[in-house]
Amino acid sequence: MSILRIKDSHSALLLVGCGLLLSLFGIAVIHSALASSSSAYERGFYLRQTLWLFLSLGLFAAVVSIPVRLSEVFAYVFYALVIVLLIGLLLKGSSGAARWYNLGFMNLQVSEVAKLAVIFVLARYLSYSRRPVNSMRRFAYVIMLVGVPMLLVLTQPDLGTALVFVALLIVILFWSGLPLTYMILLVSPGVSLIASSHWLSWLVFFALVLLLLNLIKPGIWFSTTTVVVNLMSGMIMPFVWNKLHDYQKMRILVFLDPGRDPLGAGYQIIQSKVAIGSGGIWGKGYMAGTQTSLAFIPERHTDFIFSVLGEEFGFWGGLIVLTAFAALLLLGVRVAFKARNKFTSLIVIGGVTVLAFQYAVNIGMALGLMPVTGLPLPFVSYGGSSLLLSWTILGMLVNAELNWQEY
Amino acid sequence: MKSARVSVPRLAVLFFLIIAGWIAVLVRFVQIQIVEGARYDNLVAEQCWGELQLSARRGAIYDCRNNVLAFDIPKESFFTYAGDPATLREIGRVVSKVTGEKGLVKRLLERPGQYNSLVKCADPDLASRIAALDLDSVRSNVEYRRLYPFGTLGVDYLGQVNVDNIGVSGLEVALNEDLNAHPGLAAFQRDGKGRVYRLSDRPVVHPADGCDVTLTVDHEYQQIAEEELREAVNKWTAKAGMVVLIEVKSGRILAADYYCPSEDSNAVENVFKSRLVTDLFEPGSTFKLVAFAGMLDQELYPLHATTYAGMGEFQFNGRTLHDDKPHGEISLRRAFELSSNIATARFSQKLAGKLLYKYARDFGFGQPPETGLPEEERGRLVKPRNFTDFWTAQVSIGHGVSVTAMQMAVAFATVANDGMMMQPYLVEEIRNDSRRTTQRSIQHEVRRVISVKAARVLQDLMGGVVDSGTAKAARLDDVSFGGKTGTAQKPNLSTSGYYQDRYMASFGGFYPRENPRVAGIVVLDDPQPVHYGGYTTGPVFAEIARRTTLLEKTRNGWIAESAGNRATALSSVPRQSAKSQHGLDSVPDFGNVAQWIDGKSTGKQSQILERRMIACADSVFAGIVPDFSGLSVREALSLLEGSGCRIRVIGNGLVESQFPCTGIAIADLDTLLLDCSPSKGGKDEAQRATEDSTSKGSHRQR
Repeated sequence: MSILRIKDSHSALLLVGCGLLLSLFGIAVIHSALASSSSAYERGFYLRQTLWLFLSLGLFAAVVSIPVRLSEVFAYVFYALVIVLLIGLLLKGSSGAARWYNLGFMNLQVSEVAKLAVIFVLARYLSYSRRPVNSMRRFAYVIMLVGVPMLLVLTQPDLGTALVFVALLIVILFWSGLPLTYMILLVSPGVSLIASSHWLSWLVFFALVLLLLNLIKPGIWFSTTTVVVNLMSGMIMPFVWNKLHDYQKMRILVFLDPGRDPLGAGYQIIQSKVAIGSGGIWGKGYMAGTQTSLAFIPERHTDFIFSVLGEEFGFWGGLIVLTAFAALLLLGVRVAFKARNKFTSLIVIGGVTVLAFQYAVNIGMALGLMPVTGLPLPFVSYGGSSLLLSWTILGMLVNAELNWQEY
Repeated sequence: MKSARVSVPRLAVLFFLIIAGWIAVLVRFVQIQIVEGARYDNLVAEQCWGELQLSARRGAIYDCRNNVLAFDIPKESFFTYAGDPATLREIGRVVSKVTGEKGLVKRLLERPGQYNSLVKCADPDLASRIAALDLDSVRSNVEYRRLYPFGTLGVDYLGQVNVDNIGVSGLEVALNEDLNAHPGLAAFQRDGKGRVYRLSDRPVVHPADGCDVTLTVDHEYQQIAEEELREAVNKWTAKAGMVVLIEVKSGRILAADYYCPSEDSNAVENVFKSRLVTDLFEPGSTFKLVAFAGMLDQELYPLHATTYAGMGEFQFNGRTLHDDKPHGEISLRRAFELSSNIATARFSQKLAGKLLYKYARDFGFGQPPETGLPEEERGRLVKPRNFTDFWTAQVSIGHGVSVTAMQMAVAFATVANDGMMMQPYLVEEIRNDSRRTTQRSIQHEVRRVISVKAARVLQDLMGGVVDSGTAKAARLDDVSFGGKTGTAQKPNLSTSGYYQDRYMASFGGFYPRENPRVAGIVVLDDPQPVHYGGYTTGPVFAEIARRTTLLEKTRNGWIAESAGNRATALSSVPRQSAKSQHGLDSVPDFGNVAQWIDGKSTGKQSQILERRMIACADSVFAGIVPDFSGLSVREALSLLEGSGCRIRVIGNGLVESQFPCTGIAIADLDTLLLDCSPSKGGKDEAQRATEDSTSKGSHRQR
């Protein structure tokens, strides 16, 4: 593939270029999105974001210059610290959705840090564990390492970040060479959960799983586990559904049937689609989006920033952003593939996964392809924690790119 | 430490996923922006742009003395265009706390992003409280609401407006074109939170106020007329009453009112038509004016010409006409004054049906009076294929025709104006919003109906009605007026006959007798227990005449010199008490029959009859069956009306004897048998009357 033949230095530059392009685009769009806001504080958000970008670049430089392997040492400590912070949030967070610690100069979004911690700890464990890849115990450990922070995040409640952990788990295990049978065991309960919303779809799915197991023949012990897990996840579906918050249920139902609640949960999706749709090929022009300036778009500087972009810059603007993202992700995967060190490789693929998942969910949501989940668009959305995380990941990517030959 | 050793297929899977995702999003992008772009563009226009109405004032209505009868006051209405459900919920929650409207949130959420009214026409207190909430997305607009400072005064012609301030009845609807405000328009842009921005670069239609209208009515005349009518309707427990006053020389309508006690509690909501021009009734004797006008105009008879009016009933074409009492040989003048049906019918035969019809048409019957009020009725004056004697007889006494109160008033005004009919009108002038007169009514003569000479004679005859005729009970010393009474049985639509016990009492007249200034009519629907126009409606007209005359004197400053003690500080002339008017000690009420007969009668026979009436009435009120002998069946029936006992009548005319005789409690009475003097109609007639079981009328003609 041609993308594999790019020079390392070019690849690194390309990565940084994509990150800068997206970040600058983001600041411009935040400025436009909030220019009509009645609050002077909000109107100044783009300046704050600029400041965050400078801090992020500093952090990026640090991450690039510090050897990746150094983080191996701290992976478990970091992980433990994050767990403590999450438990701390749980204890103090009786008052609604408290998801951050106030550090004085910023509100630290713990879930953003947690993503990093989970990447590190998974990479650390998988690259050092001497158990065979198809070891059940190894598999169980990995699930536990992800499961604990995921449950803590779910209680916040932050479904979006919890789903990021799931994605991380699947992709990192996949990348670390988990056998296909384990992939089935890993992925099928989630599918089973969704399929069990209707008995017929669940029956068909279950038949498929059995067929697959019959073809692969992974052994009686493994097959039984898979079947039992699938059965159980299918049965706990109603229970999980009832545990979901009303707004979460509504988001899913609205996603499945957009006409269900055009005023409530559906309002955001409709307004987002209206904004993007009315942008047309060339867009309405920078600072000229009516849906944006008239505040029809909800959360227009964070979750729905892509709608503003789509309205004001139209198809070409969207195309640039999408392509920059795609390029960034492809280059990231390339680095992960190239890296000789397994820990580095896994860290890079974890970072790519976080970016890719958030990108897919956020843009999918803006275009009405996904249920509404409050995930920011990496690099672009307003928010210090999010921008810092994005640039940290980019730093890891570039670092790995520059030092891929290291063991 | 392990090396990465990732297999190429796994790399390919991730590459594939990324590229597939990129393509999927692009495809969706193309679908939304390019394929469906136009649809979303429309949605944007729909939710961003709107038009705001800038309200204007509906024209005011003034009376002829520049008193405001109807005008618009500004009221503040609050609304929101918010589309964001959270904002709507917040608005609904806060506003409903102030207004107390339950389910406001639900109502708002039904139509997000569109015009949602929060409070319509808030009074200043409520308006300030809502404004104090200082809600970002709540906008207010001044709307105008109609106010009638005199309440229901003149509601019959003023009419009403609906909630949108558009006229729905009366002059409000007739003059809608002129009165209507022309609201302006302003384009605006609104945002997702419902805030609205006025844009200066969009065209704006400036609002224009409606035209002001001045009427011919005089609100003090109106007030007097309404007071008197109301009192009479209540006193005689009538179903309804009507009064119209017209300025004789000009045709200007000074006052008009319809009053119905059962509708009175919320009169403004109930009146949907101007009953004075829409409600038809059979006029009865008041209509004799037309026949006499015709006869006098044609100079068919001298005033002293006589005819034989029989002993209370007379045959026409095989049908019988009745009088209240036997008049015997009677002159033309007395026939008018005493309102003899038989004599009028007989005199009219010389006039012939064709001419009678012509005069009736000339007086404006059977045609809408074109006063400017909506939905005027023409009344019923049918031209028959051939004019029979009976048709002439019937129409001459006001039967078989139906009229509106306005038509009757116009006819009387025409006679009072020496035979020249003036176009009646209500609207004096219309001024546009820059106070310039755009339309002014011009007084104009419609036609000469009868000669001046005939009119003068007729005026004299009408004076005689008050002096010594059927209306002498209404006579006043200090105001000279003339008129004609009417007491007509109400047609029973279900049997196509007539009610025996329901009457329309009316009195049409003019004042003063010399150089008449005002003419009009008073009608009472089903007055009880006395139904004679002379006793019920006559005094109403007299009192209106007295008070308005006094009012004019006050206005002209005469009162200060001549009778300063009688009326001081008049906004409207106060009623003179019955005591000073009639010299009686008791306040007039239902029980005291004496107050409507003041002993001014000249004819000895009628005086005796009236004394008998009083005695009988007193007896009835005491609950004892009186001696009815000598009274007409109709009088006997009117006295026993409401007593609950059944009455059997044998024969027609005056009561000869009765069973049981006097002295028995009415409450114990089941059936009272009245034996009347045998009719002149011969044996067959008497036989038929005998067979007629209960309460056979004495006045039936069909």
